[in-house]
Amino acid sequence: MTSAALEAPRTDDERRAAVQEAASRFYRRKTLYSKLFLGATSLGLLIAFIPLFSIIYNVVRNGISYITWKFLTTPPQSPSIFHKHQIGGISNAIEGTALVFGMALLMSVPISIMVAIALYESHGRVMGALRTLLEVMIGMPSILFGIFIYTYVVERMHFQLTGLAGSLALTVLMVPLMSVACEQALRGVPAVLTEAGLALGAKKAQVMRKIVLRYALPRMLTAIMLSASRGIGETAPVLLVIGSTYVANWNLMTSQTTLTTLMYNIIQSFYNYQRSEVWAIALLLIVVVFVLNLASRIIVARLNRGHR
Amino acid sequence: MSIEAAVLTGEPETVGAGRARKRSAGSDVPYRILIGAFAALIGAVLVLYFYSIIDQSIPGWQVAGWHFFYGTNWNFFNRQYGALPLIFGTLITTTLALVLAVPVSIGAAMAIVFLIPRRARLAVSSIVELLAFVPSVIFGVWGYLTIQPWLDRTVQPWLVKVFHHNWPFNTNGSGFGLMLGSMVLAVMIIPTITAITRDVLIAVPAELIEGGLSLGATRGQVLRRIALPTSRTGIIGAITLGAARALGETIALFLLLGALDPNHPFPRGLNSGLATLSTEIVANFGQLSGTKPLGVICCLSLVLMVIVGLTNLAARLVVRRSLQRLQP
Amino acid sequence: MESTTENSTMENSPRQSAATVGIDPSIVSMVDAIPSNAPVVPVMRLKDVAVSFNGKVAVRDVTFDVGKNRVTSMIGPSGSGKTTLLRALNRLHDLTKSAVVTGSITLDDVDIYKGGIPTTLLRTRVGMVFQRPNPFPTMSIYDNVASGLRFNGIKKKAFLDDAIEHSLRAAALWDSVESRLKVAAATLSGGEQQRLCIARALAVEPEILLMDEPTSSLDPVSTQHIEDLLTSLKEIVTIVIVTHNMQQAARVSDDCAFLLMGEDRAGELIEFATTEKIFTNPTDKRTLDYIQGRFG
Ligand SMILES: Nc1ncnc2c1ncn2[C@@H]1O[C@H](COP(=O)(O)OP(=O)(O)OP(=O)(O)O)[C@@H](O)[C@H]1O
Ligand SMILES: [Mg+2]
Repeated sequence: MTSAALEAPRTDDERRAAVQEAASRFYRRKTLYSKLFLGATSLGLLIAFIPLFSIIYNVVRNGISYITWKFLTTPPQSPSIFHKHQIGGISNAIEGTALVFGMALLMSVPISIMVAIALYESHGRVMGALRTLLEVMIGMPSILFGIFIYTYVVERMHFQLTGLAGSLALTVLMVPLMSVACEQALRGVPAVLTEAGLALGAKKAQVMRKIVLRYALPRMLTAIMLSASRGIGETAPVLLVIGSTYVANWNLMTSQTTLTTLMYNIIQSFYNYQRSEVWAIALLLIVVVFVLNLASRIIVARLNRGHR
Repeated sequence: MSIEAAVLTGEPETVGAGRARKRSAGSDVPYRILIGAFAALIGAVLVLYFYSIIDQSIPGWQVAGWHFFYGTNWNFFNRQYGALPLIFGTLITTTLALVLAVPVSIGAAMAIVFLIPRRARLAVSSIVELLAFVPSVIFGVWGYLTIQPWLDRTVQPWLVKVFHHNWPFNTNGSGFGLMLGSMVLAVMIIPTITAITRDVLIAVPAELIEGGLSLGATRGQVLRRIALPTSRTGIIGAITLGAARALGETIALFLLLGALDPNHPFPRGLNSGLATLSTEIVANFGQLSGTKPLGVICCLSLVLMVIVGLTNLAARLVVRRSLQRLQP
Repeated sequence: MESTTENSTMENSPRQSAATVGIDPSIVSMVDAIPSNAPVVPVMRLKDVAVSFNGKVAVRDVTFDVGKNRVTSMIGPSGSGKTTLLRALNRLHDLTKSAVVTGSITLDDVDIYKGGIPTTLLRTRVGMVFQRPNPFPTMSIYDNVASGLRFNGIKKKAFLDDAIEHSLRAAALWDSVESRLKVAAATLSGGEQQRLCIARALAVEPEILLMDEPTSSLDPVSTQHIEDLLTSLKEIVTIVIVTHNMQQAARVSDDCAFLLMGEDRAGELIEFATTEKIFTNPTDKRTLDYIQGRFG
């Protein structure tokens, strides 16, 4: 035994007594420490909640009074010193968002589904590299997608600043997220189902269409909705390539204004009343995003309950 | 090999399945070509993405040179391309945002996993995650129209009383600047860090928690000494992912950071205005004429891409490894 | 051990009575932990204990005394509530909001559920070893064993060093890890990890050690090691052990509680007696059926 052991208790009873005495002496401190620690974590949760509530509160309170049928259906007007409240509506931005984002969805959904299927079916090095590439793209700053479309499509291919360029930017932005999420949905299909199909001699394409896709459809839908709710709120990449317009012209080959780019354009306005108009647009946007989000969460919750 | 593993690796699990594959191999060709074509398409677009930005940045490098990395005189309009202040701005806003967001996020994640009733867990974490889906321009608007006036009218006078214009509140603040930007940025990355940390903490085996409690540890001690160290790498990954998001944030910061002071390109205090790589891209896009300025914009983009890409890659590796390690 | 067998107060030898009721003699031959004449001192008493989850009873009607420095085993088919009952003894159910424990459980005549003793202090006195070895993965061997003491405010190195050597010795692990105390605990084999967990539990000097199927995830050799350990451990600590393995119960325990699911699928205590009695001459027909292997 070392000399250190000399000052330590010898018999089992002495040992036990020493530990128990120390433990009861320490009891209050460790309990207090625990309470403080748990208190700090709840404080963290509280702080994490505050901004969301503040944002929702401000958006609703400041935005709701603007929202009228006229506001949604008339084009904007510039206010002047004499007509500070003359701002018109946002029909141009609603039309622009529907057009630009609709076109982006039209392109990105089929592409993403096909890429997801490709990721699901093949397993070589190349596919591994593609998957890593897609995952890296998901984390890339969104503005770089705008730069990409600007450099390649606008500069090199001599395109104008158009709605279509905005759709392209949103498409390259959404496809990585959408395809990786859709692939996860495909992976959720029980292997027994596909094995059974293959064992019966069905072609892979048939198994995919008749079994895998059918089974994974709800989950893929949620994946698409979540990715879409990301895409619709993007500003920077669209801003760089679509220009702006005051009229709702339903033409993808001309400049467009979307809800987000309109917010960007008017928030720095000289007129208070016009500046506050962004709350109304934010309200519209947040409602769309949250509805998409909530709907997809409800679908997932339903599915989970069904499986149990 | 389990059936599941077989599907994952594409190896035939049983003789029967193998035969089925062979029999149908011929007729699967069009299908394989179709999905291969889409994979190739998206692969090509992504490669083009890198190529295009790199290619277009070449004229920029010719103009800016190495000066881009160490020069401190950034003035796009006057064709002065020392981007060090911008790189610094990107890093400092992210760092401050992390300082604010990390304790909050880890605390929130621990509360979600260990404190609130299991039934409420999903609801509470969904609400926190909802914040991740708020479009960043709305954060910008909120910072611009709600937080900035509050800082300006309520916080600033108080700061003046306490700090007497000493560091770090030494410049005359309007509310816009480093502090406002970092605060809003922190709010934007809290859901990211919280969500991943929550997943990592949920993966901590219950046996470890119960093992600690059975030794007479309090809940706080178990969280601090067992749950946190066990999930350390995962949490580092979560923080890195949050950082990657913060590094690339554009619109909100553009609205909130104020203006870069050419006489003091590096912020002198928390109230100073500054610019980051991404805000400077947006700020100068309207002034593009000819290819040379676009080249410099592409240089900014490229540097941003490298910083964020590396951060992201590192984060993904760390998170994946730690989740795998915790799986029994 | 043979000598204790001869001291048995029973009139018939276990083997004979077993043969008369038709129990596999190979099991009975393992009953070597025959009680000595020393009087049994109850250290923990359970009275009408029941545990329910969400109002659904998982185990009920449990009344027995845990004797000091004895090994008490709990046996019964899967789902009969053994684990549930064991976890009630150091209040681990407190974590589960839906769990309710009724009846009384006293430790040295203090009701552990009535606030007589703070939960964290109770757990230093009633330790636990789990089914799967659960060393703390980020800690070294040394830190694992020291963790319980540190949780309770003991930081002095001399004390820790000594306590760690003592408990590693008690867990028969000292000789193989003495030279690598600073190595991560995860590098040990499964059996060694389980002994490390025993050492970790012993380090806080509990009066009672609860063990939930401590050998079910181990190979036969490691199992043998731990069984050998139990016999020597009971000199210093009272042991309550859940096991699926009847031979094990027969080999290591002095007293035995048999639990079984009733009609309504709630577990209940069927019989509690000395291990010898349970395995040779059980009172209840159902115990006999179980010993004879008539239930799953
Ligand atoms: N946390 C819980 N919530 C709800 N029910 C539970 C919980 N824990 C245990 N039960 C229920 O209590 C009953 C008894 O389970 P317990 O694990 O105690 O059985 P056991 O005898 O240890 O079984 P085994 O031998 O398989 O370990 C089971 O019906 C189980 O479903
Ligand atoms: Mg059990």
